[in-house]
Amino acid sequence: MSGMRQHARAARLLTDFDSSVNMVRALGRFLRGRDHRAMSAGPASPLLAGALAALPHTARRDLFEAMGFLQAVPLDRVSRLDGDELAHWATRQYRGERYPAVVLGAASGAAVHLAAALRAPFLPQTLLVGARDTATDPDDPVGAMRAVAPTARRIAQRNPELAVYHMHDPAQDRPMLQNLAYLRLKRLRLGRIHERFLEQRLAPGAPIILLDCTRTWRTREVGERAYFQFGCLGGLPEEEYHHSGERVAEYLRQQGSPWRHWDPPEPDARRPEAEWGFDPALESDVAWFAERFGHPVHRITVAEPQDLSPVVADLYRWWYRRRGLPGDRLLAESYVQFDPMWALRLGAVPFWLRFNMEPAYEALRDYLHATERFRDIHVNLFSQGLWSPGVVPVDRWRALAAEQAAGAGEVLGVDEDAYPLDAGSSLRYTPAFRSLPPRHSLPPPLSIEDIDEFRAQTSTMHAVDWS
Amino acid sequence: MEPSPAGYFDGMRIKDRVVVVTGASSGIGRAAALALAGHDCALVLTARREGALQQVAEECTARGGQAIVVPADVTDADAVQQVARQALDRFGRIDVWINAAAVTVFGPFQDTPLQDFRRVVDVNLMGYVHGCRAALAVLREQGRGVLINVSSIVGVIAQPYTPAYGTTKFAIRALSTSLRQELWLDGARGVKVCTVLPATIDTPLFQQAANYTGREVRAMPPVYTPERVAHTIVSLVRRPRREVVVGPMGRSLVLQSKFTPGFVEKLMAFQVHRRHLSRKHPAPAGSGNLHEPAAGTGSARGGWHGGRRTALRRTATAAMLLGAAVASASRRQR
Amino acid sequence: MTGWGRPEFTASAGTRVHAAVLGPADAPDLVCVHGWGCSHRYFGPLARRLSGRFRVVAVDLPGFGSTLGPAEPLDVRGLSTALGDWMRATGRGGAALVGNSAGCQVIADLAVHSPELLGPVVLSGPSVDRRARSYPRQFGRILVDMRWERVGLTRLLVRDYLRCGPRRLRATARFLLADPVERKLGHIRTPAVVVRGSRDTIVPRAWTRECTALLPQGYSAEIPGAGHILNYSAPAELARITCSLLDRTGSEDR
Repeated sequence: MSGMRQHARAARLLTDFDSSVNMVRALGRFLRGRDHRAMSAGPASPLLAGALAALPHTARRDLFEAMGFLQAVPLDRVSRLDGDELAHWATRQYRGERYPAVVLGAASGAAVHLAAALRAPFLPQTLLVGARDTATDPDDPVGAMRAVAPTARRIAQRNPELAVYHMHDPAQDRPMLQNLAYLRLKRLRLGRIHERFLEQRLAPGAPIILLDCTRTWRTREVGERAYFQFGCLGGLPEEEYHHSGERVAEYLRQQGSPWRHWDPPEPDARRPEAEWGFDPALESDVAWFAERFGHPVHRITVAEPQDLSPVVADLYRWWYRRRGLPGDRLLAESYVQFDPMWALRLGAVPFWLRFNMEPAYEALRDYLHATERFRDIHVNLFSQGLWSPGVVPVDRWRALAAEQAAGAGEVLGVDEDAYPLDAGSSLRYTPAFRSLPPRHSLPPPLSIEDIDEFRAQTSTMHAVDWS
Repeated sequence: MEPSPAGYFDGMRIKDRVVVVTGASSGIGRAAALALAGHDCALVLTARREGALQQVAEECTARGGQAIVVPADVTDADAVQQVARQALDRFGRIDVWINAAAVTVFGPFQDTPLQDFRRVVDVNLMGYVHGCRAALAVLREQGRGVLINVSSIVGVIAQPYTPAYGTTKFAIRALSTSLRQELWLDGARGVKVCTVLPATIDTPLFQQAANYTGREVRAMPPVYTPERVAHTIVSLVRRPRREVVVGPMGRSLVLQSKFTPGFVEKLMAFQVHRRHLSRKHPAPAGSGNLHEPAAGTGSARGGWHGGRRTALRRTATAAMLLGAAVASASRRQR
Repeated sequence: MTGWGRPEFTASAGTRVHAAVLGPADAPDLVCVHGWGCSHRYFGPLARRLSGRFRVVAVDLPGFGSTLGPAEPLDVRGLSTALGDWMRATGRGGAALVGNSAGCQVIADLAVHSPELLGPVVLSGPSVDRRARSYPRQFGRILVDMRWERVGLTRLLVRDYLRCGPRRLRATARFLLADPVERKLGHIRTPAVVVRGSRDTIVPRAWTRECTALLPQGYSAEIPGAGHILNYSAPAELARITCSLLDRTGSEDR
C-alpha cells in the first residue's frame, strides 16, 4: 500500500515532458508490449489533438504555460525531495522478471531503440523535477539563479547521491519557465534502489551498457553539488547564450520581453550538460557493481547526444535486412515523441532527432547524404510552444525528406499551421505512426554479440566510441 | 509615594500619556504609535530609520498627538538609555513603554547563518531587555507606568523555520513574567508589565525578513490588521493585563494547545510548511533587514490585505450565524 | 506643616528678604522665583523632589509672601533688581534658577542688567503671551487653566493673593502685562529650558516655541496633561527636566 502511494508521489514529482522520464516510460511500456502513445501520460487522440491545435494562438501559448504550472511541483514538496523515490519510480516501470541487458546513463532517444532491440531496461542518470516558480523572470537569469539556489542547495544537501543542476533556458523552454524552474538531478552514485534492481532483475552475466555523453556546458556553482546552467543544448550555440547579440535581441522583442539581451551569471567551470551530459562520477559505482556480480560493462561514448542516432539507425537497418525485411522506411522522431514498438512493427528505421532545431536538421541531412537512400522518409516534429531561435520550419523538413527519399518524403503527425505551438502534437504522433502500412510481428531480441557482429560488418564510420 | 496629581494621570485615562515606542517605523509599533497619537498621547518614537520615524511623527501630529523622534538601534543599550533620557528631557516622565522592535529570519535551523540567528536574538530579546531596563528604572522611580512587550502567538506555539524568532518570543514572555514577579515582590503595584501575543498581522515583517528557505515568505492566514493590535495595546494602557492574545484564531490555538499540544504543534508545522512559505515563489537567500534597515519610509501594513481579509471573515461568520439562526427558527416553526 | 527647612532672612534690596530653604547645606543652590501674587509656598512639591540633589531656595520677592515690600508696588525692573541684590547678598550669583510664570519675566529682566548672576535657567510656563496681553484674556485663561491644576493649589493661591493685597496685585499685573519679555530673553546666555504643560491655557505652545527660539542656548520640553503651575501640579516631571538641564551643563560640580 505504502509502495503504491510512494510510487504515485514520485510520479507526481517528475515531469511528463522530460527526456529521461519518457525513455523510461517508453521502454517500460514497450517491455510490456505497449506503445508510447501520448508520451505514456494518457490516451492519444487525433481528434483532441486537432481541437487543441485549432485553438487561437494565445490560447495555445497559455496551454503550454498552464502545462508548465501543472507539471511543476510546489516548493514545499520539492524541498523534501528524496532521490530514492525517483530511483524507485524508474525501477518500478520495469515489471519483467529477468532482463538480458541493461542500458544506463545519459539520455538519448536513439538509446531507447537500442535498449528496445536488446529488450533491456534503461536507468537514467538524470531526471527532471520542475519546481513551481511563478515569480522570477525568464530573462533574468541571475534573479532566477538566486531565487532557486536555496532550493537547489537543499536538495543537494538532502541527497548526497545527487548533483542538482538548475537549468534555465529562456530560448527553448520559455513558456514552461513562466511557472517552473528546471531542476535536473544527476545521480553520482548508483544508490541502493538501482543496486537492488540490478542484483535482482538482471540475468546472470548480462551486459551493462553504459551510455556516456561527454557534452559539457559552462555552469556556475551555487552550493555543494548544486549548479546553475544558463541555456541548454538547442537552437542557439552556447556562446550566444552568454554573449547574446542581434538574433537574441530580436527574439526578445518578439516575445514582448522588456530585456534586449541576457546577462547570465559568470560561469566558473564547464560541467556535464544538465540534460544530456553524463557525469563520470557514476562510472566507478557501475564498475564496482559489475565486477562484484560478474556483468561485463560496455561503454558507448558520444560527444553529442545526437551522435548515437546514425549508429542505431544503421543497426536497425542491418537487423531488418538480416531478418529479410526491406528496411527502406525511415522514421525520424524528435525529442520524446519516439515509439520503439511502432518502429519495430512498421519495420521502420528509427532516426532520433534531439529537437526540432537547426543542429538536428543538419544531423538528419548529413545522415541521409551519407547513407544508402531510403524509399520513404517520415519526419515527426515536437512542439515546444514558441518560435525559439533556431527552430527549423516545417517546409524545410518536408523539403529535406522529399528530396532525399526515393519514394515519398513527408512530415508526419504535425499540424503545420500550429507548429511549433502545436498543442496537440503529443496526442498525435503514435496514431500517425500507426497509420503507416506494413505490420510485422515483434522480433526476438538482439544480443550483445549481434551488435558486435553488426559493428564488425558495418563499414560506415560512426562518431561513437564503443569499448 | 506622592499622591497622584489630579487631571492628567488618573489610572485608566489614556489621554496625555507619555509613550515610548520601539520599532515605531513600521508594523505594530507604527500602528500603536498612531493609535495612541489619536488619544492625545505624547510619543517618543524610536527605530533605526530616521526618515521613516519623521514620517510617523508627522502622522502622529496630524492625529493630535505630539511626537519626538529618537533614532536608535535597540541592540545598543546606551542608545536605548538615551531614548529614555530624551523622553524625560522632553516630556518629564514616561507613562508607557512599548517594546515592538522585532526582526526575523526564516530558514531551516542548520542553514541559518549563526550571525543572523544571533542578530535576531540581539534585536528581539536583548533589544527588549535594554528597553525594559531603561523603562523600569523610570517607571519604578515614578511608581507608576505600564511596560508592554509585544511577543507573538509564536511565543506560545513555536513554528518551524523560525527557531530564532520563536525562541525570542518565548523568552519575552518569560522576561515579562519575571519582571512582574519582581515588581510584585517589591510591592511596586503601580508598575504593570503586559505581554501582547498577536497572531499573524499584516505588517512588512514578512517581506523584510531574512530568508534562507528558498521560498517567499507570506503572511500565514488568517491575517489581522496591525490596527487591531494597536487597539489592544491602547486597551492595555487603560487596563493592564498580564497576557493578551490578538486575533480569535490565535486565542483558539492557544486554548487548543493546552488540551492537545502535540496536535497543535504538528498543525502549526504543517501550516507553516504549506501556507507561510510560498509554494510557487522561490526566493533568494538574503539577510533582509537584519543588519541594515529596510529602505523607504516604512508603513504599518505589509500589503497582506489584513483589512479586507478580516472584513471577509466577518461577513462569512455573520452569514453563517444568520444561516444558522434562520435554520433553527424554521425548524422551531415546524 | 510647610515641609520647608529653616527659613532664611537676608537684609537686602532695602528690606528683609525671606527665602524658604530645603536640602543639604553642601548641595548646590537652586533658586526658585515665583510668579504673580504667589510666594515660595507653591514651590513646595518641586523642592521636595529636588532636595536630594540641591539646596532649593525659594525666595519671596519684596511685597510677596513673607517679604515686606515698599508701599509702592515694584515694577518688573524693581523686582529683578531686588532679586539681583538678594543673590549678591547671599552669594548665590551663578546659581541655577527656576522661574514660574511671571518669575520668568523677572529672571529675563535680571539677565538684561546682571547677566553674571545667572546660572542655568528653567523657564516654566513663561508669561505673558505676546498675543494675549490684556486683563480679560489673562483672567479667562487663568480660570480655564485651574481645571488642569492639582487640588489644593487654589486654597494656597487664595491665601497668597490675600496676603499680597488687591492693590499690589493689580499694579503688578499691569507691569507684567506691559513687559516686553520677548526683547529680553535673548540676554539669557546660559543654558535654558522652556517648559510648559501641554494643557496650559495661559502659555500656548506657539508662545513657548517663540521663547525657545529667542534663547541662545535654549530648548523646550512639554509635560503632557499638565497645566500652568508645573512646580505644584507636575513637580516630578519638572524636577526631572530641571535635573537633566543641570546634568547637561554640569552645574552640579560648581
